[in-house]
Amino acid sequence: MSDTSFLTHWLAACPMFAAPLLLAILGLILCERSGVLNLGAEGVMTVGAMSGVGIVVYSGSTWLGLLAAMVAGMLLSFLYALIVVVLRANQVVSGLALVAMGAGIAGVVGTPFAQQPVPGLAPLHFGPLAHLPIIGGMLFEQDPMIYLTLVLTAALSYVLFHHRIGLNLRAIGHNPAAADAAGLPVLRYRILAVVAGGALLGLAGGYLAAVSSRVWVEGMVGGRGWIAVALVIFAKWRPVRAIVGALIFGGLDALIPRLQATGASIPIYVFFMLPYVVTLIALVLAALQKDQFDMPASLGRAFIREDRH
Amino acid sequence: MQRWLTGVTVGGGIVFGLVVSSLLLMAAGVSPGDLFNESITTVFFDPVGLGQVVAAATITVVTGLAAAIALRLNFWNIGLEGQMGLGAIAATGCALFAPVHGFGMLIEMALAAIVCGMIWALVPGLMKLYLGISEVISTLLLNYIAAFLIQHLVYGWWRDPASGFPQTAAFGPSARLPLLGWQQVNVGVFVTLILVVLSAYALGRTRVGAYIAAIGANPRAASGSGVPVRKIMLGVVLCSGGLAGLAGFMLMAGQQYRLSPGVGTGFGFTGLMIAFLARYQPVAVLIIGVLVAGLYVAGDSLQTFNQMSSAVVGLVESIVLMSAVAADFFVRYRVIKHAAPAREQNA
Repeated sequence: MSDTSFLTHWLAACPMFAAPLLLAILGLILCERSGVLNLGAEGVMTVGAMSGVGIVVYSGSTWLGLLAAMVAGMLLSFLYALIVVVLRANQVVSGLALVAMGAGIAGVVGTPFAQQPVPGLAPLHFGPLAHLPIIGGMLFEQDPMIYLTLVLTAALSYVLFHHRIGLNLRAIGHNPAAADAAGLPVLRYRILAVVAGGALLGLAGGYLAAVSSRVWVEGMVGGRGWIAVALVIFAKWRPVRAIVGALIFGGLDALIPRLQATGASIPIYVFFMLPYVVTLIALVLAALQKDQFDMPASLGRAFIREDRH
Repeated sequence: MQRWLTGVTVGGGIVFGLVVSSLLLMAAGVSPGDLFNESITTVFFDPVGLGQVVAAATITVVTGLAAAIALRLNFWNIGLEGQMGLGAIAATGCALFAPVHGFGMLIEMALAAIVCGMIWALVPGLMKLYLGISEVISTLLLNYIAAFLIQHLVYGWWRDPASGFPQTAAFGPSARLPLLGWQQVNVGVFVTLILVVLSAYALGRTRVGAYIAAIGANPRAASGSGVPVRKIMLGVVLCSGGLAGLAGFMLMAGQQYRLSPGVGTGFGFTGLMIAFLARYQPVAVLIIGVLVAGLYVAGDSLQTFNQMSSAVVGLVESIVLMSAVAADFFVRYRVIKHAAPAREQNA
């Protein structure tokens, strides 16, 4: 294999590994912009992955599977929203519980169709564009979900920064008491943001299982939900910046099996460590720049009306 | 807040969670008789089962304490697992490559494990204190790094060539905690009890304990009244990491006798759950730690005899925790209904 073909193939594989991360980061941005921390991403993705593949196995349709993954993500997130938004429970401990709950549900329900292969999605073809050197495959020969994910990113960015709904959402995340005084329904916004974010997290898991991996096995989300939680900070809660983070990590994800396939003797576990080390360094760099002011000021704190000053 | 009310509500939440979990397990095909036998009779009313519970509790209680002391300062040490992993690595390294004769071996292993657990906690502690980086994220990332470090060791450098499995060679007899003749229960159980008493004393009766309470309630006010906030925070984070490292040592020298992948997996969440349900009180950590250990033992037998996924223990834990957390609402707040007021008005 020549050097350029290795590069071309690797680049072409990147989007498929980056898309689930990007979807998860978008879901978390939506949720956290309203002031609700969701550490349960890993659990919601796991349930999305399991239900996605389950429905594909029983119905034969990948799109129906992705839809089911979204619905499953919404249901689990709605439970989370009830507990942390309505009952004002601690968001860190509830989020951790959500991770264990998601893994548990997926483990108990998903046993019958674990290890069963599913077809995935066929890539779209953009004619001669797909044959461009190096970047052709990466940009013009991907499955439809990749392009939909990019559209979603742009849409979320537009809504957050150029639409009244986004303004309200950010106001609630920044200062719920002031937003409440201005007449915004804080709890309703937060519940909807958590549930909509959950749909994206579920979709992220569904895509990962039903399209990228084309199989569901226990533990397959493998920490990507946690990486997404960290990458939200790296993205400074901005959807477009999330693309960069998702591509870097998706790229590493796509690189490791390829390097192994070349037979080069590399310490793979040290390689697996890299994304986490890089995230840690990225956090330190972001902190050193003292450039974190976009963080929703009420992140992780429940809103209680009597707190109004 | 009335103490009894907290107890009743948290207890009610736990019971509710257990009932929901049992119903779920029955829906998943476990017969009610099996469930009762495997989760109550053979766990708490049978010397073999109870021995397993005590052995498991030796570890869960220590991780619960590690989580509880950090939580008193609102430091969310999600990294218990990684700190335990480093402790396990350190203990294994000493046992295999730096053997000492007699009782000194165990002391060496324990000290190395505590120091390594502390180092693994120091990094996020410093990042939080000096850079304001959330410890939730940094400790979590360090868990993954520790897990891959263990895999790197057991699949590579430290792999026992005589074994077909990814694991190190077994420890010699001097590197094992002496058994007490009841299942796997070993002298570690006394260490755990001493640690519970010590931390209850330190948190409740000493100046440092009072400082910790003050910082936990309001760090700014504490700093203003002369409490050395940074020193205390670093000290507490180090203690938390050290305790987790010690738990890693106890797992190695008391139960597994060799390093293998996945050491400590799940203990981090369990420790936090115990601490949270126990309201960060060491004695309550002891009680809840034993109950959770019972859940582990019951989960093991459910896996063996009913082919349940290993994630089922986490599922039950999470349902119980969520119920208890939700029940908390009724302790802290009173729901007041208003007779249909004009829309934007409030209480």
